[in-house]
Amino acid sequence: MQKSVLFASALALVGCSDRNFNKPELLFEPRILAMQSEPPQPIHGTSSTLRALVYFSDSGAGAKYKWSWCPLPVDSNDQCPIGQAEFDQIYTTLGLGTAPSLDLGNGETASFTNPFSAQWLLALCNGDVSISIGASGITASAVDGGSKSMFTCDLAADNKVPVYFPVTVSLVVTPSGLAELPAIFTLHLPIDEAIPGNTNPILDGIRVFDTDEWLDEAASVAIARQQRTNLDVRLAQSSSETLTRPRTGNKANRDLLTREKLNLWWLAEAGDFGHAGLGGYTTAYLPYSDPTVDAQFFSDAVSNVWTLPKPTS
Amino acid sequence: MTIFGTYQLPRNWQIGSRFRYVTGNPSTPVVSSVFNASKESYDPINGDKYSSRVGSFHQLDVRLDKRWIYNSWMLTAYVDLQNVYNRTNPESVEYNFNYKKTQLGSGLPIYPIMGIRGEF
Repeated sequence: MQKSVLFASALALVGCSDRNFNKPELLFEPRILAMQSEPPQPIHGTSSTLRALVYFSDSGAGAKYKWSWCPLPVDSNDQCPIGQAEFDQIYTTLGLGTAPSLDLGNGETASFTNPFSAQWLLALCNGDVSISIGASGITASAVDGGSKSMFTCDLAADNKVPVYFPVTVSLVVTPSGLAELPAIFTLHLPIDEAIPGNTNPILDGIRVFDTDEWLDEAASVAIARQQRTNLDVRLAQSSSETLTRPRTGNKANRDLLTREKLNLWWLAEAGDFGHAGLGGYTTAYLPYSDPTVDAQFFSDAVSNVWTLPKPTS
Repeated sequence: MTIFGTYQLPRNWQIGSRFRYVTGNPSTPVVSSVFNASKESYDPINGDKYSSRVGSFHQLDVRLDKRWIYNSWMLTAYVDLQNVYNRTNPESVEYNFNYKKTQLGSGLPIYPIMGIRGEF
């Protein structure tokens, strides 16, 4: 039998790449950064104000907005699978009267009114309603109870009861002379109106750590570039609400309460982060399983280490 | 396609070379994206399935061996130089966070290997 012993050494040459290639925390061009519904979960017959936080590299004057919503899960291209005509047909089939418009207008903000009663949403989620839309090829569950609903509803953590009915809000912002910026956002319409509605967190302020320098809209506080700066975000504990832990494969966690997780994103206009180790950090209140141990893990102010990028050379 | 050959030189030297050419794999391009504010990330919008192709792969490797033969074993020393002309072979297309910028994931650059092998 032949035996071989092999020793080898290799030298690899590593090339360079664009170090800011994938830095979402840098703002180089107009972008939609966030969307918000206030209140987040409107009950039947009530309205929410929809708004978007948009970064414009200029004043943003002349930007156009186009809002719409979709009662069905969007397709793989984030497009609504039905148009107004099909929605009218669904409404007629359900005997709900005149369907509201899927078009939410062209303002900087929009208003969405929840047109569905909790009972109807529950029926839709459970597949108790028969809908068939031939033109678009969409068919829904039958009343025989044997079919699965066409709607993807949010289930409670500890059982299979649907608690929220997701609808998709779409926004297209077109900055003057530039390409369209499309975005979507999911609204969770309550099916069980006995569950308290979620509320949006409210920041009480951002300051440079251990100083009285509070960041403001007028940008009166300058933070040095290429230097680590701790920032305090003041946020009331009540902004992070307790909820039942979402369903996971871990049964042991199913019935535990947890704290809503809040993500804080830090962004900077342009710049160059340089090599690894600099840059922005996302921060969150840590979710935990037992609200009674609140104080141990939770504080009113969360400190975030942030390094501003150097100017683009 | 692979072309290879070896040439025996005097005194147990051997030189070999291999050239490979492979057309690029079909790929589905991302043509645009939608910011999904609920997920805080961008959803890619794909173009037609397999409507584009990653660039082709070609590479030349050269290897030089020297063998010493003893009574009960052989020792071979070699220098293997892969990707001799330092071709940047694209292996995949990488997108940035909002799918607006792309860069090619590439294979190894010119890659020298030295080694010895004992056969008993």
